[in-house]
Amino acid sequence: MGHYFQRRLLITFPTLFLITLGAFLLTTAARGDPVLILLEQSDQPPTPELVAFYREQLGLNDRLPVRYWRWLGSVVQGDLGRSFLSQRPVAAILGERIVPTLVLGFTAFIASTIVGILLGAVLAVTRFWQLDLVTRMTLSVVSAIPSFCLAIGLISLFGTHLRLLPVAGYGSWQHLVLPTLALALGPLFVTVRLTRGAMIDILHEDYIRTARAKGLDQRRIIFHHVLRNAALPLTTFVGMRFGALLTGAAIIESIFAWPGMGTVFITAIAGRDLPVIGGYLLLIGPLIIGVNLLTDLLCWAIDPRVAFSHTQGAR
Amino acid sequence: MKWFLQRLQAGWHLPVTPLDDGGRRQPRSTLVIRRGWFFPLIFVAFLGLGFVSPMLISTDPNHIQINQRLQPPSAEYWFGTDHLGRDVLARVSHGGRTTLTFGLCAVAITMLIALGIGMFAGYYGGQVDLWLNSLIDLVLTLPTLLITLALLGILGVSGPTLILALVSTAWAAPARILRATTLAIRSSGYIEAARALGSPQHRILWRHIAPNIATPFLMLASLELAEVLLVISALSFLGLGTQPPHADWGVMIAESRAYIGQAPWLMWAPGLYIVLYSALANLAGDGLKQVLDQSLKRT
Amino acid sequence: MNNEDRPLRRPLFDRRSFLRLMTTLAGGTVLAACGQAVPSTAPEGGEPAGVPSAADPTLAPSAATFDRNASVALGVSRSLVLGEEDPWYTHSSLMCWEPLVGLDDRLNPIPVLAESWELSEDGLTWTFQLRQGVQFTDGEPFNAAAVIANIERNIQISPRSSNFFTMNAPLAYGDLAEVTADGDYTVIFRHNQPFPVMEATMSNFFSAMFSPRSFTAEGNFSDIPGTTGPFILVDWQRDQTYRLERNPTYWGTPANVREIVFQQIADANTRLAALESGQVDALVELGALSLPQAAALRGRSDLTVAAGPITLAQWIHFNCGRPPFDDVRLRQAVAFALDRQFIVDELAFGFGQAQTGILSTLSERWFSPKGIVPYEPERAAELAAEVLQGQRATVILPFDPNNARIPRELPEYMQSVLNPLGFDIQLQAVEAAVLTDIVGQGEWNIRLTNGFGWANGDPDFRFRPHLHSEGSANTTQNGRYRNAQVDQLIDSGVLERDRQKRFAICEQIQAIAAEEVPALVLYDVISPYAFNAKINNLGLRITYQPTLELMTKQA
Repeated sequence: MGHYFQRRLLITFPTLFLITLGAFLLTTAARGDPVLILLEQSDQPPTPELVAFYREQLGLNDRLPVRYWRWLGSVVQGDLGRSFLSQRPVAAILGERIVPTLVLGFTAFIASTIVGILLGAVLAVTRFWQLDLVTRMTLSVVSAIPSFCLAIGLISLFGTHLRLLPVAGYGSWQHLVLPTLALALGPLFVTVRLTRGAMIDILHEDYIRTARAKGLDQRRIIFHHVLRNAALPLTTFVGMRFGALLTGAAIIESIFAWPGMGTVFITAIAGRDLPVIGGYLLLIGPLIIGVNLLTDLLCWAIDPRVAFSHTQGAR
Repeated sequence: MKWFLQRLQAGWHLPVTPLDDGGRRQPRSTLVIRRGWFFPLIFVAFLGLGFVSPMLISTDPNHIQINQRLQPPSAEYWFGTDHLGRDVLARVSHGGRTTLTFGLCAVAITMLIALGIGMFAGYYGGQVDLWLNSLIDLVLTLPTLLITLALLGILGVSGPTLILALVSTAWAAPARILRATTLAIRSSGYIEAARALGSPQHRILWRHIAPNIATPFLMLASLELAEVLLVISALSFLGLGTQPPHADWGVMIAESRAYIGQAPWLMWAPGLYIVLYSALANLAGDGLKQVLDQSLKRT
Repeated sequence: MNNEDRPLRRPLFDRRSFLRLMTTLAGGTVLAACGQAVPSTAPEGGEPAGVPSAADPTLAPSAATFDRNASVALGVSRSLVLGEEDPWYTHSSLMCWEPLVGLDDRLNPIPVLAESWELSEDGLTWTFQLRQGVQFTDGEPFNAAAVIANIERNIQISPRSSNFFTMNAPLAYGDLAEVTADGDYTVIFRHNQPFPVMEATMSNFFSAMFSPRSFTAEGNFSDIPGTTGPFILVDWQRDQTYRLERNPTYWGTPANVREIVFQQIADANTRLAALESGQVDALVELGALSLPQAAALRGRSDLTVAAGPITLAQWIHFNCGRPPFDDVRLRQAVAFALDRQFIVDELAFGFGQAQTGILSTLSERWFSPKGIVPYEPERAAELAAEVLQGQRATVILPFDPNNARIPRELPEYMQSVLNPLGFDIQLQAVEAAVLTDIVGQGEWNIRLTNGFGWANGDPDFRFRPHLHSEGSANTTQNGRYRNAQVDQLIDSGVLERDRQKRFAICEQIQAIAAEEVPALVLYDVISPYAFNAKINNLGLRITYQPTLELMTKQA
């Protein structure tokens, strides 16, 4: 166990190093000159003198290895550098965006997980096939709607027609409702299906049937035995899902004017803004690695026997 | 309402049988098509339709008629016309072929990589497994959408880069599941027996492991396709989809957003197609899972 | 299976306690995160704060119809506050800072913080008389010393790129020798070379005045700067909201609303939904409404769509250094073939002024009808046939389909009009970054832009980049247009003090531009915006400023 976590932690640093190196190489190889992009932001064609000035100032005249080494050096000293486009410190750009991203990610994550597990459990336990069929058909359709279409529909319904909720911005819980819905409805289907499947499997297990034959309390069986044993595959899925919610919210953020990091990253890619891309990856990488580790820890806590079967390899 | 609640309660007290699924009575085994195969077959039929339908429509999807722009649905233009006066029906059909081709290619490559790595790791075990598993772990760690975005934004959008970007991180999750499945099959009695009898490895892999891995493989593939269709449309939304004038559904939705006030029907056709195919892929995957469960319980 | 009957291992900590710990932690984090998401909302409405006395009698009679204490919410599409690193902190649209010299609606320089100015006989010295009795919002007086501090700071930080406007001091102030004060309210600019165009070049952004206390030694702002305008920026969250309050000590007529909250919404559909749902009262500024949106909103009773001409234009640029457009006749063929009125009416939904040339029709002083390129499809066909002789010319047209300002149909429309003439237009849809690269490498024949706001109203600002052989569009952007006569005319125009003579030069340049078409203005942009029934007096100035200080809101 300890060995496993050691290995996971050790792999983190080379992973981050590789990701940032990859980002540097790709961004530099890509078409698009940060200086021209920077200078055309303000709508005036850039003069040759300005182009030369900024190329020097952004350090783009140096060779790639030099630039990467310089960047790495300053990162090790805790300085993420300044954005090419806005000239602001990368740490400040990301710092003001991380809280909204986490808020939205967490809320959507918790909403989809709790509702999904409850619904899945109800379907598995009650074995009411009409309900089961209708729910699953509905969910499979809802989760097949592209998130931005869902977002447009939600805005039109709750904002324009019912006028119940603000359609854009950040600040109160009301602002959180629509983006959360748009983000959480997609993964719901998979959570429900996984919960339902895992629980039905376990209901077939001998020990549950024995427990039921003995006339044990229904609630106790469900919560104490079934749900708990179904938790393992769920935790794995849900852990992977969390990373996706953190990083995949860019479209939803831009539609709902949610000031998260996804839009920053998209702008940075579009602007070839290397310091921001690098800083973002350095920030989000450990976060996702951390969540994955936590997922494994949780699996271990739930059932130490099964959790690492996949790492011990075949006998 | 009362009946409904009673029905919910009653479920718990129904007898549990090995092939039980939600208390529904099992169909007679004389039925040729076993339940679970219904949606996969429908899905395949629709896939075929998606590839054939462009041939049935003679209108040129890229034919511009500025004076016919933003026409509502009519007998002449079933789904209306877009901002350049192009026939939406023709575009949605042709776009469907593009979308489905990209989707299927991406899924096929993803699943082949997943199958190769999963089977290899699961069958051989040991050091090989350890390393491949670390690789899977590493890729699972990567922020999927970000990598896709970064690759596309940076390499530029074209057919191959789109597929490369989609495949780059998607193979890891199915690879992990296929590995576990292979592992389970490998440690079952008859494989041990076959190995003891000295069957060559390729024979074991081909005759014993492959048939057993086929259903989970198809299941994962169809779920993957549902996902990929949504990712492609999301990429188009961000301006990283197919290049004009050619359309895929995502691009069509993205284009139609500008005219949502004047011509809301523009969004309906491609939107419905995406939902239809993605939902069918989901349901097909679900159905295959059912088939798989039943066959596992039989053995 | 019960876990209790397994032999106990002794891990670092019990997994039950670990589970419990994790649950608590997760819950706590969410709560903490939610807590941060809810800021202490400022008390809204019902609080009559700082009612200005009826200082202005002209407004008193109508005061009953609107609420002088109103708070207005405005939706905008882009960032209008950029903060400390920016040369201006806020965009001029927020009306926080004011310039010495402004522009009226026909692009003429008008006095704002300067009352008058004059140029010496030798053309080397500008003398500005300043408005008296003006105070910055931080209490500093506005005087000659403040002006000098601002000009020196601008020179110090130049060049500095900005989303609003690149700070480029030589462009604004010419070859400046020194800036001195003569008494408290007179500022004298002395130049090494004559610079008679400075009244225009320093207008608007380049003569923005901030309290000298707002700058650090490096010339950056340390906080929200002290300004003189009718509104004060009170607080702001980057890319989200900016809250303005009426400046109670404003030297001019005070504004008619107490507070304005800007909400930045990048997505066009969401922005409109915010207006329709009542979350904002109006959508203003550049790109407030997309053109199709504005067209779709016409005829709505609950919302008003208005539109105002702005200095932006829809351009077509030719690569004059590469075949086929190194031949002037083919550039003319393209220019004559495009029906610009049709483009405005159909593709831009009527939001444009097609009868225009390289200078905007807005310019009262400098626009000449000789700059207008006519629509003559027959002549276009003749010219094309004459040059191409039945062969087809491949033309690369790269464009960014996500550029919301350029009508989406324009590239395809051009293809459908020009291909029959013998061109083979190859559309390359690329993202913005790639487009800048293609342009920078010169791998294009024809391209579209929508921009080049004519920020200072001086013809040189439009001529030099596009027509001068050393202009940026002809160098860094590879337009490659060369005409020694035009170069000479442009260079002499800047030095001409007599307005009649300068107009003659400008007219000549416009006529040459219409004849040789190195770049073609399809139309001057008219920018739509929208507001609900409660809002009145909301206009749009040519520099995309909404008339915030005149705007009223009903009670």
